Amino acid sequence: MIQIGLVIAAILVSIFLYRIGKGFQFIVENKNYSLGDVTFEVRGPVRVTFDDEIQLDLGEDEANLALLIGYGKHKIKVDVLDENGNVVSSTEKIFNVSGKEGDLLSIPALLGGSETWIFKRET
Amino acid sequence: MKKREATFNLKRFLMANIVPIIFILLSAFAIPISQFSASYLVQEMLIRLARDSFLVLSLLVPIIAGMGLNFGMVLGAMAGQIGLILVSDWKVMGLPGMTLAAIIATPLAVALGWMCGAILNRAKGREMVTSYILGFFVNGLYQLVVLYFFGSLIPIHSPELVLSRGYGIRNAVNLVGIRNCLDYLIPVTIHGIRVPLGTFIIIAAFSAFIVWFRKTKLGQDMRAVGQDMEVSRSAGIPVERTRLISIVISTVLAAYGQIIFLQNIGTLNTYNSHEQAGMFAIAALLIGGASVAKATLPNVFVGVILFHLMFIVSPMAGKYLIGQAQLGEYFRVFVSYGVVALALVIYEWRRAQEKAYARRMFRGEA
Repeated sequence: MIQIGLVIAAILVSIFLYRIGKGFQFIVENKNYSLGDVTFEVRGPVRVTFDDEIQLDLGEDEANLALLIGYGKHKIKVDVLDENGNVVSSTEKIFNVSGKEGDLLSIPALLGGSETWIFKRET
Repeated sequence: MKKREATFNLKRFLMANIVPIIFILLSAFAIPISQFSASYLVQEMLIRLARDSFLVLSLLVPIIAGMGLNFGMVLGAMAGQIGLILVSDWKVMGLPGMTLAAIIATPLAVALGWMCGAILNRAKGREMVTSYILGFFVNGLYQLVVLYFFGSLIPIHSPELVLSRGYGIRNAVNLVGIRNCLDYLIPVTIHGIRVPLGTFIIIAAFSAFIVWFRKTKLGQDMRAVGQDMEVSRSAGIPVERTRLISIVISTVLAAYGQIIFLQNIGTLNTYNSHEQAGMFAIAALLIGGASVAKATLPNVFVGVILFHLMFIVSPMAGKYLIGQAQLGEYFRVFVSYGVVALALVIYEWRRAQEKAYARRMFRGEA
């Protein structure tokens, strides 16, 4: 009975560890993005911060990779910068990561108010 | 009389610690020639102490049980590597990834340790050579699994891991997701030297476990079995079971040790990493002054420090002394592994002497 309990506990701990440790890689893109008839245009260079830890500086028409760890809620903060690097506007959102939403994160779509701004890449 | 006794003790001390003394002298000679700075050496030693100590500690339990140096620890190392390959494929990062690898490796290591222990129970008195050959046998199975089953029978999705033919794992697996996740879990820097405190805490806890374990009923049984199997059996100790448990514990700990080792290195050499684990750990333990029959915690740490000190300084010492770094490295390999052979020969020689002495005692000649 103790052995069965230990096996179940090990399985549950493994699932928990998998969920909190799973890494998700996103391509964070600051390029014009067309969604149907609508095109979201780049607003300028941006500073993207995930979970107050990972920071990416993206110029216009640039992209970079971000690795988020763990299923569930994550925070994204996008600061639009002017030519001197001063923050012009700031947007903050909480989003859910489940691995099914895709791996392309469009900053113009996020800033443009689109409901979806994480997409599956077209191959 | 007192003076004679003191001289005798000094001689005994020198004889008992001849191997570490030779290595200390070699290091004292090679360190100034290598021209490495003290801070560089301290940093390297801390990293290597964190990297290797757990693996070497895993050898202590079978020595307590009288089974000698467990060359079969490579079985545990293979189990640890399978865990790491799987978590790399699943992209589980950091400490959760490392812990998950340890959980996956545990049942594999228990099964392999059980098999190894059962075989060694049928090869009493020849445990070391049997476990050494068993390592080669299981290495074949490991290669079959990793080279053919991974990617075909066992799903592997990550293209960075799978060979271009569609199945089998590549030669090198990048463990960037878990690299140093335990070492620098608690960031500590003293005078510019980074201390891998996380791993040291685990090693300290494990050392405390060893001290405690020796005092438990099972630990006492192992000591008794290690001293005399027949007397232990007469005293009601399940000899075979005790020996088997010691090998299972050692194999599981070797799996964890290999995971700690590889999180420190940051790259898994899929087909070779485990092969080196056993020989390096055993050489380090013997250099620390342990023997086939007796090993203590200080032997582990002294051995790891001296073994790795030679690793670091000998190529540069060779370069500055002879003009060729490779010669220094050859010298280190020659001395380090020569020590393993010498320790085994000395152990057999002493055992033969003890047997001869016992026979003389029995005849009333001694």
